[in-house]
Amino acid sequence: MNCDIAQRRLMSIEDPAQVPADLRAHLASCGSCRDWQGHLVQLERHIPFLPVPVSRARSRFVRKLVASPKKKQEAEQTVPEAAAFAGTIAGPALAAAPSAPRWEKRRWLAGLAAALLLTVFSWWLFRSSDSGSSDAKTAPPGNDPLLASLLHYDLQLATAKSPRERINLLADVAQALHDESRTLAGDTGGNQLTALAGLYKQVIKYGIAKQAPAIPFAERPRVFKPLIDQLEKAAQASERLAKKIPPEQNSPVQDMAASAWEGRRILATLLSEGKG
Amino acid sequence: MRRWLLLPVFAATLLCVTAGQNAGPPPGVAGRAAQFDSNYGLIQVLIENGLRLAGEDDALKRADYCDGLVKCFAAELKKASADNNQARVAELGQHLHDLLSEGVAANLRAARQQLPADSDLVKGLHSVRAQAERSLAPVEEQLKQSAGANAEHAGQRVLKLIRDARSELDRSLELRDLGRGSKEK
Repeated sequence: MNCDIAQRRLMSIEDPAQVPADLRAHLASCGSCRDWQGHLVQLERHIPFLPVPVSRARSRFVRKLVASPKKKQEAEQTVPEAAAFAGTIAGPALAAAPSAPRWEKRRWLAGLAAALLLTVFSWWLFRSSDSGSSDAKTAPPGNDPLLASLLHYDLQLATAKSPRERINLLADVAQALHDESRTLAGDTGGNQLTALAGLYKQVIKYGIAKQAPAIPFAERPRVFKPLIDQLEKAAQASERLAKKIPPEQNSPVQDMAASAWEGRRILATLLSEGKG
Repeated sequence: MRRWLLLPVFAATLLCVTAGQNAGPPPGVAGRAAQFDSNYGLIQVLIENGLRLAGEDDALKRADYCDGLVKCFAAELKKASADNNQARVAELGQHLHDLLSEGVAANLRAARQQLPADSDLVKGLHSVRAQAERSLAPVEEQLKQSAGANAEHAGQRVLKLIRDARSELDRSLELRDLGRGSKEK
């Protein structure tokens, strides 16, 4: 153990007079650390003799609590007392503090000014963020993820060889459209949801339902079961979404739910045929 | 009590409540709706084409369907270039490249492998290739005009993508011709 570590440990222990064995071994062989310990012990012993300023906070609080109507009068008494006490420890500048009513008035004015400043600043902040968001609302964001994913699925369909591969890709197309409906449902002004519901129905009716019979019986459970699950979840999600949209605007989402249930029904029927 | 401290707190609370009440739909939703509107034509074509591709086994017909998509994307790209909308030019340019190389060229290559060397249907491959060329020529012209000599312009990058895709198309047909040539020897 070197002197630096020993002295740090001496400062960190609660009582420098009571040292642990390893530290004691170092102190036995090191004069400067013994001196350091001596100073710390001396300091520790003198701390209880330091004068503690008298606090009137407790009695003041109790008095205020008991006699609330006298609060104002009380405050007038305590402030000069505090100023007088401050004057004894910090000099005449604090002792010459203004009288209590003036202080109260200034505090109210300061509070009012702070409120006014906060209001103006927040108004400016909200106003600028509003104008920014309106720009963001009108300007289309970067690349269109739906367009990119539909193109990706088309290119895969262009080289897909098996009916299983194709029906899975069509299910991905349907899911991409369904996901988009959840994004667009936040904007209740446009007729995008109607267009989307039409496309979704097309994919289910002329895509999945049309390709499904081409799947060999043996493969149907493995291929259809995940698709049935997917369509069921999509239908339930659309039904939940429809409840969140005003009734006069939720018919496209309900149409999507109906298309998904219809797709699920067709696949379930084909699956049971395979079993029979 | 320091009641004066309540003033700023009260003001802040009031502002938060007001801002919350004025909040519209989440930011970006209306932007997505506008994007959906502007791309709806292409989205519709992609869905219809996807359904046709799903029911088609013949590679030459698939190449032809992809050619139809090339035509639509090229027309939209030309329009974006005329409007000097560089972000859209870059986006559609990449899609056009992918359609040409992964859609048309890939199916031309597959069709070529299926056809006998002396089949008359080889002409069909060249016909599809020529159709793609007819779609590309006007858009290339427009891109050259918009981009000028500015190497940083999105149009320049798209022109390079189109050149790469054209090479891909050429290779998909040249191999057949080379194969036929070596057999003839």
